[in-house]
Amino acid sequence: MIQAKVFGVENCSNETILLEATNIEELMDKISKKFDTVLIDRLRSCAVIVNNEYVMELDRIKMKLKDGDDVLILSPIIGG
Amino acid sequence: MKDNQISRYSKQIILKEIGIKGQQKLLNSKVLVVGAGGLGSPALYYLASAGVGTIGIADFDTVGLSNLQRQILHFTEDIGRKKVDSAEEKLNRLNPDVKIIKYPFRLNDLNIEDVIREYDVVIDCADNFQARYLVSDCCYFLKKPVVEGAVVRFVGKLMTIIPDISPCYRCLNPIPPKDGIMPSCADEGILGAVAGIIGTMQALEAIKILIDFGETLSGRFLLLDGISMKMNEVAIHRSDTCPICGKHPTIKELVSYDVKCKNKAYL
Repeated sequence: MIQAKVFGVENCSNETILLEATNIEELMDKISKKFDTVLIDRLRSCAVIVNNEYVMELDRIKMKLKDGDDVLILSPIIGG
Repeated sequence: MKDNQISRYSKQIILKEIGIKGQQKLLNSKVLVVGAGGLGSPALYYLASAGVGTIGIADFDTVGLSNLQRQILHFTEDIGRKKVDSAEEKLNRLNPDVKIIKYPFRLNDLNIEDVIREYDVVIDCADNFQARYLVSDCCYFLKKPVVEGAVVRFVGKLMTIIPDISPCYRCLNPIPPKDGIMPSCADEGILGAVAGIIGTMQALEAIKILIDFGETLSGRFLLLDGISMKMNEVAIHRSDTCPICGKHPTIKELVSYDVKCKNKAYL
């Protein structure tokens, strides 16, 4: 089970979500289905943090998720 | 230092990390705050009260009624005034030691270098992509430390960038998001207290850089979730492929972006 939390994306509550996923794309797909399917592009524009480590854009595709991983999906935040 | 200054700053002068030497450094320091809004207000209050000698404020905007819920430098009677004028007045009353320099215009690729060049540290409290990329790129080129803060709803984010040492803004966000993906900034809510926390932390980071003590948020960022009142510390690394500070930089001069937000009708 992956523990995920979305930060700063409209229509997504920021409660912790528990779901099964083996990679980040699958995780984002499941989250967008849970909240609002039109949000998939918005989720893809977000930063991904796995176990408090920032995942670089290029590593995102090849990264595998494992049971117990803690994933934060963070919108580009610019408000001041 | 004058007697009344020693008395004014006594509670921080007795801190061993600061002392008379640190206080003198602050009084001789110059900090630029970009944006005198929700983040800029608390940051400016604490920089001025701590006795940062010269504070630059860049903001082209005027005070509006809907600003007052979070932009605590501005009062009801300031509506319609330039934010830099309203800010200057309050900060002068708070601490006449501080010299305020105002930049009441929009920063762009042609004018920003002349502004930033004058300062030791920059605090980024802007509210749009264009300013954030411009400020962080310019600080990288001029080798100025920048303290980045950002907020939305109950979420806050904070990081400090020491050029060529920390990961830079573009290491994490190589290019701005595509047009039409981000919701309009005007449509996103924010609770004032969340901006207050992050803006205050930005002032603290700047003071540590200026005096040179403690550990800054270099190589990590803080993520605050005000709803659960939990904070995450996220490890970040410099990117070899970063377009500005990577091995083969492709950005060698300032670029102006214009990111179009999503039309409200589609929200």
